[in-house]
Amino acid sequence: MINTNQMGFGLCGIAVTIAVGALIGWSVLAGNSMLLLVAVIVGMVLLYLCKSRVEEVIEDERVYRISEKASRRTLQVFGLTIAVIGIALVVLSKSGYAELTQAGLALVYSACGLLVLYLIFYGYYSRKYGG
Amino acid sequence: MKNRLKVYRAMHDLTQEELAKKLGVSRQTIIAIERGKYDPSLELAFKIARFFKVKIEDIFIYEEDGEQRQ
Repeated sequence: MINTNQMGFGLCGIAVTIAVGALIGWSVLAGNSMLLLVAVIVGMVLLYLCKSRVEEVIEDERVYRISEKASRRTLQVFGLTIAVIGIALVVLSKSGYAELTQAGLALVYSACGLLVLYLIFYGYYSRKYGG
Repeated sequence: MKNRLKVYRAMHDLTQEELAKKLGVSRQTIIAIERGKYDPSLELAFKIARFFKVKIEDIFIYEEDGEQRQ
């Protein structure tokens, strides 16, 4: 079995991401949803294989800490952005731009879904850690 | 929080990579701790102290008025 280091894993990740991205794009254009599904699953398997061959520690508490902070910031920025844009589109749709209704509602519902999901996970981890 | 990890690592003649391997963390984590950019968890701090066979406060120095980075 070939062992890869952290750089090898990074390169593998980039290569797989590019390949899967290209395949997804092509399958969407071709209207082939089966290929899309296969590309995502194969990509996940390849990433898992790359990761399992890394001898070095690539994930530790510092990485988890960074991920927590990045996730929190992403949630704040993305959630707020889609909520504001969604509300703006809904308001615009009421003042003559009816074609924006669907897009606006989709974004508003996505923001609500995101908030609900956050609250569910918050409750779960709150109970888990004695909240 | 200040730390003397670099000093203890030098005393034991270990590279960052070797210490990282022995503690089960990445080399980047050792670098970040030594530079004072990352304060380790209590578990890792104990692990480090036990590895060097010293008390936790010999390596990590808590400063009450210190800047909170995390």
